[in-house]
Amino acid sequence: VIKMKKMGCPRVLLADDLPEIRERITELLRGHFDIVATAQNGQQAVEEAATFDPDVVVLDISMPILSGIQVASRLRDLGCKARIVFVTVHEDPDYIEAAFSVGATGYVFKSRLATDLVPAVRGALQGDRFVSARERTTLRGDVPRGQLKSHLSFKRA
Amino acid sequence: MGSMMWFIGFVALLLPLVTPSQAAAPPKRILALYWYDRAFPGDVAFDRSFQAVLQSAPAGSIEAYTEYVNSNRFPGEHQSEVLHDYLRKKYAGRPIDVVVAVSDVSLEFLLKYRDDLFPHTPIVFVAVKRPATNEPASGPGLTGIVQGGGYKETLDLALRLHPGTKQVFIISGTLDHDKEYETLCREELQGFKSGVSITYLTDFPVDRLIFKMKSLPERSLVLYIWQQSQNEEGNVLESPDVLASIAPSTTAPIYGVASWQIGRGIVGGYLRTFEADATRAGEIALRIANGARARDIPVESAKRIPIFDWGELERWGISEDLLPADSVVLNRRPTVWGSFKWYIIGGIALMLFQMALISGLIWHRARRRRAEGELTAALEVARESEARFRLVANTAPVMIWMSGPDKLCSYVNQPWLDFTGRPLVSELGSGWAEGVHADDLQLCLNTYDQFFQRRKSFKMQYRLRRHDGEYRWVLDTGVPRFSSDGSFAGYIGSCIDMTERKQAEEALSTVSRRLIDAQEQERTRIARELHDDINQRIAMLGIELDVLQQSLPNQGPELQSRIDELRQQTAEIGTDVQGISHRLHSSKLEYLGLVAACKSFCREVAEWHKVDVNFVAENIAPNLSQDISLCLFRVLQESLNNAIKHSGAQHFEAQLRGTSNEIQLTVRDHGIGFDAAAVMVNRGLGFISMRERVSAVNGTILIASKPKGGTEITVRVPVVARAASKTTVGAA
Repeated sequence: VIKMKKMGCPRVLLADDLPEIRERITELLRGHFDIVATAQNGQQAVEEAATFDPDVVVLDISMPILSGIQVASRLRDLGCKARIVFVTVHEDPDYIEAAFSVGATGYVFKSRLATDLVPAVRGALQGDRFVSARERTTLRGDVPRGQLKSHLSFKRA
Repeated sequence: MGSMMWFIGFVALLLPLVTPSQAAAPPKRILALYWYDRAFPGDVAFDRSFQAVLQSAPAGSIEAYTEYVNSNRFPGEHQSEVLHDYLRKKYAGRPIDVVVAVSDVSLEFLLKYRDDLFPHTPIVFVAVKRPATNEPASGPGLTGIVQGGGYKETLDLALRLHPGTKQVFIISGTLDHDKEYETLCREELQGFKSGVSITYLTDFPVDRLIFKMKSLPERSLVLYIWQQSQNEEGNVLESPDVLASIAPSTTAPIYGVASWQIGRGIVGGYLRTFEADATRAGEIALRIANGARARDIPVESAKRIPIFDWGELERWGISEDLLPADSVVLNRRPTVWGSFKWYIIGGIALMLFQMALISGLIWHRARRRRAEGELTAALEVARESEARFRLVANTAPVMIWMSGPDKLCSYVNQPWLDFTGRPLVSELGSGWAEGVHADDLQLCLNTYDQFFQRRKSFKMQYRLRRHDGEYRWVLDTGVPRFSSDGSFAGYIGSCIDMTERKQAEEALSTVSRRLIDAQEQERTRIARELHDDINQRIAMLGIELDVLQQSLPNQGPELQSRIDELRQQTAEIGTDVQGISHRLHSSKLEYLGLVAACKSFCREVAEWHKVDVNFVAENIAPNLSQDISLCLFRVLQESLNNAIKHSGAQHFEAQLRGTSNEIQLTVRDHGIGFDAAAVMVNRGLGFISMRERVSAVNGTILIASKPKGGTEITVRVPVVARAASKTTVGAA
């Protein structure tokens, strides 16, 4: 019924193994997008995506059975056209790189969820890449936040 | 010689036709006329010496003739006539130059028939009496040797040898009873003054003489001159026989006048000898034959020399020291020494030789016994040593074997036999190899051969069949043996059943793997817990703070700032927890795969240590199993950490290369290197961990390193063939 009501709204599939996170993300996206389905693990995410053919798939990386990276890779292999926005605690560039290498459009740190998720999904629908800016350098060797931001801003442009 | 020359000249004048060869001196003919015959010892002895003298003349110059009167066998006037006739006819054509009359009888015969037989022939006589001759000076001549006499000389000698002699008995007599010898003797002893009375026993029959001899008074002696007897049958008993008959029964010593009496019972005396008389007669005959005139040669007495009978000297107790200096002692009874000297010498020599031989044998035996003793002792020592060795060997808790220089087994101890349950003979030679597991036998034999050639100690492991049929792992340690002279004697070795140790090692290996697994699982669990739970909650908290900040837009800037600060701190905690999680167990390996995880690790470790790590991955399948990924990732971590920590190098290389059936990880540095063998042996914990991890995925690990030569660690892990894409990633 809800699905039918929100016709014309961008359709989003949400996959995260933690119920609290799913709930919070649902709250954040509810006013803007039609959340067609939620999944608790990677395997379920793939199945729901095949069922609902969403416009955007919001994926956590750390999930049971299949990781977000694997799900993205699988979806791409399956010919799914949905944009993929990762929502994750992994702020490491390796993850960001891996995410984009499997076809991600947006990459949102969970620490920046409230501010970055809706813009990232909106950007994804437009085909714009989005990467959360890092608060500070934690892991050694990480690219400083400003540089990454400008780099990503450039990329996004 | 002058007469000779004259004679030759005379013959030459008378016989002008004589040939020159005949003119050379014709042989002179010398005829000896004996009394008895060739059977008579005196004649034989005389003739031997006489002929010897004649033969000394130049060869061919003398012709010797011998005739015998033989009146003892043919007595009487008639026989004399016959002989005379015979001789006259016989020598009618052979004029005799010298005739020698041996004995008074012969001389008488010759003188009687001289004018008829040999009217111009000089006579040389050897007779007892000097012949009474009235031969004219123009006659052929008569000379010779008078044998009679010498009685006084002998008597003096006898009395010297027998001082205190009171009476002397003189025995003489002839068949003619003419007292010829008594007369001669009396003439010679005329005026003999020595205080002894002389009694003549003349012409006594033999039996009377014997009786007389047995009853001679004390301090008397006998002089035997001559005595012939005639028994009742008319047979003549000659003088030597008479002497021989009476001598054994005499109670007084008998002295004599002629050497032929020696050995027939006389002590001795100044005796004439046939040899001396014959020699002298021969010499005279030769002189005359050679031209000397007989009348120019004076008649001489027979030469007498003191001769004694050794047996009689002994019999009468006469010391040889008392005899005249030039005395001849005959018939010495050879002493035991004299008779058997060579036997004795030979015997003694033989005994000495035998003694030497016996001594040698005894010495040899003693030495052999000593040697045997030493040998026995040595054998005893050897036996004891052997027994001790066997005791030690058989009670040792290990299996012991020995082999000779021929590689063949020569001994195994009881524990070995107990282990295999086979008899000794089955194990000796090459029999022991029958118990070795077929899979291990070749390596076992190769090792043995190889070390045997080099005569070095060795250790090897193989499976040996136990008596119950179960194959047990044994550790065999072989050591070369050398004899006391340094020569190679083979090997001695010991084996221990190390099956339990082997099992323990395997168990330990399993435990290690389990430990590694457990550790890995635990780390993974904690990391996941941190990441998936704590970190998500922290993220959630951050989200809530965000939401809170946005839902309170009209609050004062202080509260806004306060919330922002909390949110910031929450994010920082989240990042730190994530870092811890990452280090415990890289979530990248799980979420991003082996290559990403390795590349990330290389980059991180390079930045951390400020070194250069070149990571290259080729042809690695993205869907590797977690086990293999984790193994390779951990080996990379361990080896790269070690390299950075110990090598001193600044540049490192890590490579992951995939092939159709394996993945090869290589970590290389160009640092100081290390003794790889030592690390293998010492089994550093890091190495054990790597080895166990690799072993768990059926891989192999090889550490190649040498001092100053860098280090290269290569791990090969087999993978199931899968389609793989080539990926090359550079990391800085």
